[in-house]
Amino acid sequence: MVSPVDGKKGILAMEGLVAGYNRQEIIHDATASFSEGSATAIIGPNGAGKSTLFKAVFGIAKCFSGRLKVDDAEIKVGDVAAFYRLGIAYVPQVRNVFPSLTVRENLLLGTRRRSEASRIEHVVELFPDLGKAMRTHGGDLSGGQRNMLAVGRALMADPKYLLIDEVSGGLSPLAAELLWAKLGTLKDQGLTIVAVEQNVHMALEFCERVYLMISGRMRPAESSAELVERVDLGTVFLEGESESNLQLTQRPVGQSS
Amino acid sequence: MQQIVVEARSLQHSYGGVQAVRGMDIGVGQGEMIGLIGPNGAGKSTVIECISGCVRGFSGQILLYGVDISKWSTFKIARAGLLRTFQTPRLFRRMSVLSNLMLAAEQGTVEGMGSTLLGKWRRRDAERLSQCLDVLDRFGLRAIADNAASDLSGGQERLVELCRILLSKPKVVLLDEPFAGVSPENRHRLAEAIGELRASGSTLLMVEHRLEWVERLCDRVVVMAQGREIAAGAMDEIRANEEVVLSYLGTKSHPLPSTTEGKGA
Repeated sequence: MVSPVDGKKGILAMEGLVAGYNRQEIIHDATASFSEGSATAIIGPNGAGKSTLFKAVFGIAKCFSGRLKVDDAEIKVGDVAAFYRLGIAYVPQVRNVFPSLTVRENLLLGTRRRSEASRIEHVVELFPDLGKAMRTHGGDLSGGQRNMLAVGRALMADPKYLLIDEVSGGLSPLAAELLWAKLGTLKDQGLTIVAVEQNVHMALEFCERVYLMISGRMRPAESSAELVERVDLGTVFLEGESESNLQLTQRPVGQSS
Repeated sequence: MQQIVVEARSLQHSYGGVQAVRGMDIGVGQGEMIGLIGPNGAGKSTVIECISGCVRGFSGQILLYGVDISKWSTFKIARAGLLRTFQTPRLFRRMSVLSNLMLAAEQGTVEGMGSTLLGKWRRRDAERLSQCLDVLDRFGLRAIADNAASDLSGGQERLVELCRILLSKPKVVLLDEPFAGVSPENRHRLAEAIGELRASGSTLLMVEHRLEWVERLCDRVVVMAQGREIAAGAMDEIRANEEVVLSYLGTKSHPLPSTTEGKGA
């Protein structure tokens, strides 16, 4: 059961998602919700299924059961037209820019209507480095530029929700922190951010809310401070998919969903 | 003193602009099994890629029984008895499981493959067949002997991959996250297959995230983070090592040096 987060509107939620590849289940009963203007991190040790969760939402991995909702209206997983209409944008971890197209062309692909092309100005304002590389081909960009371009293209559709898989992936710590800072700016402007993040320090620093995933199961949401207090994260991440870790995903007694 | 069978010295390798391995030294002694663990992006798989010759352009040396194999082709390295597993098992997908194994058994025979005397060939063929069926029996795979390799579960694929390696009688085996995608039921069989490799005298290096298996199977553990070794020893020492535990949580960038603090980056 999904409970409204603080009664705010603009809630994106998933209920009981079971997903995976072929016949194998990777995600078991994922339930989460994200409210407008919030930044939530999804963290977990290796093999937790974090990427698979997003892939299931966007129809790249197979969804065996469960529901997606925006403000209690159900949407089908992988229904990209609905996602576009509702403003749900996805930044995948890999192959997230077209290498043979220029930065400008990549950005323009993020819109469906010519009237939205002017949003390029906003994106360049946010990422000045992209502005200097408009004619560079996607394949010639550095890792940091590529991530910025991938995010920039998602922003071209003026989304309400940004689901980003591995913010800091392949970036130096400094570049990752700079990107997170930009995401923070967007959050302050009302964008809902849901980020899979491998770097736990950064996830906890930049997101006020966090879901810990272990072996395809999600621990109920907590504030970053609460999680740090309750769980020895270093050991959890070291042990990975151990039996003792799985217990952490059970709902603590007395805590509501 | 135990002979070092396979060794990497001063290994360095970058992918694009990212330095994956920054000066790594690792050596495995005869009959030893070492576990290589560490957070994502530590460079563990890259070490395997370099040792097996699957990537080029690294600096440093790879030695097999003291011979520099850094520039050898993958084919030559495999022929010298250094084999590996891959993140996704690379079986011949359109061939049956049994055929996949027969190919491996052929390479393991002591007699040269040049022998074409009909009688001799048939007898050897029968021996190979019985060896393969034997291995399939031992790991509960006899029922899928005639299945196409494309028609297997992840765990079965991995087991067949290991069976193929067993039949090749290798000197060194590099295991790249062998337990990934393997169902709980098949994990014990996989551990048995690895145990058999050891029993037959092979030297092993295993990259793995599942620490329970590292603990059960390996003599020694090496921890990598950010391209280099940060700790080595027994599993309980490593669990108690704060630097190791923290390395799994990711790095923060260094604060920009300020004039008042005078601290370096």
